[in-house]
Amino acid sequence: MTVLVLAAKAALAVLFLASGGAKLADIAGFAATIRLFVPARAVSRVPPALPSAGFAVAAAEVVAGGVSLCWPELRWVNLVVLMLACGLAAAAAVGYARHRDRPCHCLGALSRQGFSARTLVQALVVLAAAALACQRLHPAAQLRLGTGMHVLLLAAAGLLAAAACTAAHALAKTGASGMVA
Amino acid sequence: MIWAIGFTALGVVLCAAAALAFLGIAQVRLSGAGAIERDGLATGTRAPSWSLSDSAGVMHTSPPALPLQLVIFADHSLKSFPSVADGLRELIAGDSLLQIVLILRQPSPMAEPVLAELGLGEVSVLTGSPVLYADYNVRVGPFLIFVDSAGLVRASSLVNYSWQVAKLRQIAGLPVAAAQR
Repeated sequence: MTVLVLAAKAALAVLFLASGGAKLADIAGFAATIRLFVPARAVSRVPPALPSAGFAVAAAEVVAGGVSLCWPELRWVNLVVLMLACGLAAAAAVGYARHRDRPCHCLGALSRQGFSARTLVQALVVLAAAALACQRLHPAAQLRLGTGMHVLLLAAAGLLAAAACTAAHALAKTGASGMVA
Repeated sequence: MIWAIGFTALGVVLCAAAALAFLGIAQVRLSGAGAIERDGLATGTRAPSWSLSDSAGVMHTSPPALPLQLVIFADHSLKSFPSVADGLRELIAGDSLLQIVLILRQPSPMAEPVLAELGLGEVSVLTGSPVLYADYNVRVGPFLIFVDSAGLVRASSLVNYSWQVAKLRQIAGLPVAAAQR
């Protein structure tokens, strides 16, 4: 059980680091997805706030993923990750119900997926993993990371977020309409 | 201690694997003919600003003073595309409100004589840089990008034939919202 809990924790941290990093590279694209969830009456009033909301979500994912990976002993981070997973599942469910096949930008420009049954199942798997990661570890398996381990994980987290951001940025730029024909 | 080492190793391996995977995905999607056809900048996006002087010392800028500017990304190899040269000659002859400049990726003493030989002596040849090409998201030529006086991209495409040059000019004349459809 301990192995499963720690594996879920590490996998979720990596997922949120990558997802947040990729979204940071294409805030405009992610803001367009957030716009889908704004009530029609309010759409005309919120556009200036959408990029800020997109940035806030992406930054929250990077921070939650980074802290969860680098300081796994902090239990409150598990709850933050669980809340993010709940939000992801709710967005996937509403997207599947109302905006099927519209781009979800779950991984920024790295993902071409639209809202579908598949994205909903993926979001539910993430939610289940987040719930699993919240399980209390056996006292003998409590994590006590040394300074070197913290530094190593921090470097790995930074590398992953930067790689996801770079790759997504390169793909987001290829937004031209294609060769004239 | 064993759990801490295991978690650190798992976290580092997952981060490295994910980073390599994302960079690999981007590389695969950005390579190949299909990807190159989607180079350039999307209509309505802001084009890079620059000031460059031609061989006669005349300064050219982007955004242009005229209503429309055609930026050609090519070099002396334009000779291999006689149909494109035909299209450009027709543009020069029929559009007095269009500023046409050719930007080289690197200095090329052959470019101006070859252009003159092709009947394109009126085109200003500017020496750009690989960085400027990257800013325009252009990898191969001949590539044309129309920019208006507000600095917005009006049309963008790789071209091989004169009819593509003419069609791109037509698209550049459309309002930005219509051209984005």
